[in-house]
Amino acid sequence: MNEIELLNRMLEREKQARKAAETLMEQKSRELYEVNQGLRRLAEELTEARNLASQANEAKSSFLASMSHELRTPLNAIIGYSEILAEEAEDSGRQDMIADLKKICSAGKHLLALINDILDLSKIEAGKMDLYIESFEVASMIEEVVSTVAPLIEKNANVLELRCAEGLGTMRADLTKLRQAMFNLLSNASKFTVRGAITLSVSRERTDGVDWMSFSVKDSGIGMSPEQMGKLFQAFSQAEVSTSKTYGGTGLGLVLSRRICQRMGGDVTAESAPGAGSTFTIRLPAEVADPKLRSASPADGTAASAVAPGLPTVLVIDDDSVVHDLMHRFLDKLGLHMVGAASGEEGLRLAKLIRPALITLDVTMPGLDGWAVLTALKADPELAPIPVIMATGSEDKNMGFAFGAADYLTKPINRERLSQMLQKFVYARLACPVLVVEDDPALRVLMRGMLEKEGCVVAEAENGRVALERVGENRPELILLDLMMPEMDGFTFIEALRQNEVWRAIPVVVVTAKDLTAEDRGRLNNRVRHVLQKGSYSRDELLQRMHEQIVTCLRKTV
Amino acid sequence: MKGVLFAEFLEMVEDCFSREIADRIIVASDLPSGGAYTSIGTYDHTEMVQLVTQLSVATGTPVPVLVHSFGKYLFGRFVILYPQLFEGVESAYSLLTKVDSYIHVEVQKLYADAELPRFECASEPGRLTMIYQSTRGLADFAAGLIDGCIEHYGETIDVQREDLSGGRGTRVRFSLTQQEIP
Repeated sequence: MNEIELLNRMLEREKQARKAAETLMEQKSRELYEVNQGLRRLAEELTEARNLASQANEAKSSFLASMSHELRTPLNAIIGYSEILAEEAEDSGRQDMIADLKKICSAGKHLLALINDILDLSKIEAGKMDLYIESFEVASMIEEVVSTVAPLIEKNANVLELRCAEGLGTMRADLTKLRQAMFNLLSNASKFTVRGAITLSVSRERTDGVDWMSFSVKDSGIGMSPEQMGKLFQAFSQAEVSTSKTYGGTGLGLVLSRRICQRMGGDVTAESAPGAGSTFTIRLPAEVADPKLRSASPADGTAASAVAPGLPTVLVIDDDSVVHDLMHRFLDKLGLHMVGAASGEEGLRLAKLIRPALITLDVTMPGLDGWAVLTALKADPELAPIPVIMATGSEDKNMGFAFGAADYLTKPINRERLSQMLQKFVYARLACPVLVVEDDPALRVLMRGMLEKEGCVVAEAENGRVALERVGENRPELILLDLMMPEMDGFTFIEALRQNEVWRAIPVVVVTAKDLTAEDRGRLNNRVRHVLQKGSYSRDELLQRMHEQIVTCLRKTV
Repeated sequence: MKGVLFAEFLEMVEDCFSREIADRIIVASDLPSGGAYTSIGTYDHTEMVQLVTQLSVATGTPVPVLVHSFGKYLFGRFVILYPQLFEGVESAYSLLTKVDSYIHVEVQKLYADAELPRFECASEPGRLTMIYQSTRGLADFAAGLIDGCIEHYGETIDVQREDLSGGRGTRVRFSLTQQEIP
């Protein structure tokens, strides 16, 4: 009986315990449910807050983009006209006005640079800076930067020493932004150094299987203390307030350069001591990953991607690397791009791939010789129109002509003769009808002036609708197009143009002050030949770029 | 105090003594909970004091000895119930130094309202000092757990105990010294 009572009590306790446990579990479940509900509400609130923030951010970005347009357009007019007036004053001997006009021009340029810096920085901060990754020859990029910065170096009586390692080769990066960063470092160095030496050292090295480019700018200037170094890369903070008074600038350039390089997977570092000068180094991967085209690198070799957009390309087929080097230097000076092939087979492959404006072809090569290559080129209906210049030690010119060569050169190559041939085969037929579509009448006049100087016949239109009428009246060989215009903007114009079969092939070069977003670039993709950013160039540079574009477009229409 | 301790305590009484004794001490203690414990519940710790006192009366064993035994018994149960706490822990010292930083953190995940004692540990080669601190004054229980741990790892460690709270057992220093194996 005792045993039964004990078991009963135990059973009762177990039952009680089970019920208590069940109640507790229910309570815990309810708590969990409530916590989950709370989390869900929080997630919804967060999503809403994020949406609001990104909407605000987008509004800010589009405000910035239109601001950049609004600010740059009148500034371009100020800079352009003051340049023209200064030239005219010089021609008519009005020395008294030249200095004032140059001041207007340089103040305008300064303001433009500041606006660009601030806009760029805001874009980086907003994560809106798009990279435009392209392949380019490092050596020619350096040459270009050095020639741009030369007047600044000379201003303070400095000397620039260039130390380029052998075999710099090509790199893939945002060319414009890298140029901007290098220009910034070089102009800083020349700003803070007087009658000193500035050294630009460029090298390529392999670390952990990755090629890195290093661009180092060393000056013999005033240098910096550790405290000043600490503030170096902070926005809106120059080394000292007095610095900006003495040397000018906002101190934004360095911050910007660093952010740009970081965005491309590299960095900018500094070493300095007061009185001992400073060294700033840009380090970038030789192949910057393209955020938009992660898997889209062409399988077909580097040579194709090495073609600079917009520049006429000469294909040099020769087994002698010295010839490649000499031709490269020479063609580069003329603003032409060179692609080299070391054998006849490679030459044929590249010719198909890049469709060069001109081919120079060595006769004596191992494997497929020059004559065989020439025969193959002329047998291909797509490649046959490309002029081929035979470069040969023997003077078998009759044989060359018989096989379809355009001309011949004897080795060693005479530069003057080569130059004449380029003139004949690449630069020929410059005079052509060009349509300028731009809503700003001042800029339109400016562009007309530039183009007429180049021997072009110019038609004008103030918006897309008028432009379509003009195209109907007289089909241009080239259209220079602004994007932001009333009535019909550039994007709509391009769409309309491309719908007409007869007009579809007309090359369009966009000349815009608008900051192109990735979406804008997408809309323009494959529909325009080239995009020129108004604010990025001086009048002369813009002219030079337009010239290149005109040459390229004409070559393609031949 | 967490229900798991009551449930384990009563099981120990049933295993080591008998069901009758377990039943007797519950009835004699006249508990608010009636002795119906679930391991996920929380109960007043005075119920444990009463149960232990009644067990002492029923068995004639002094309370501190019972509490110490329970600590040692419970450690063995922990090894079975929570094997994940022992993964990758190779010695008594390494487990004991983890009590505050790891084991109590895990306990808190399961029982957010658990009131846990604190252990300050200081170690030097071959030695470990642990200062136990709790308003419950269950240093005997802690000593039992420590002994259970040493036994689990099969080590020979001398444990010296010093009450720093004037005999209340709320702050007690345990000095552990590894013994050379003869």
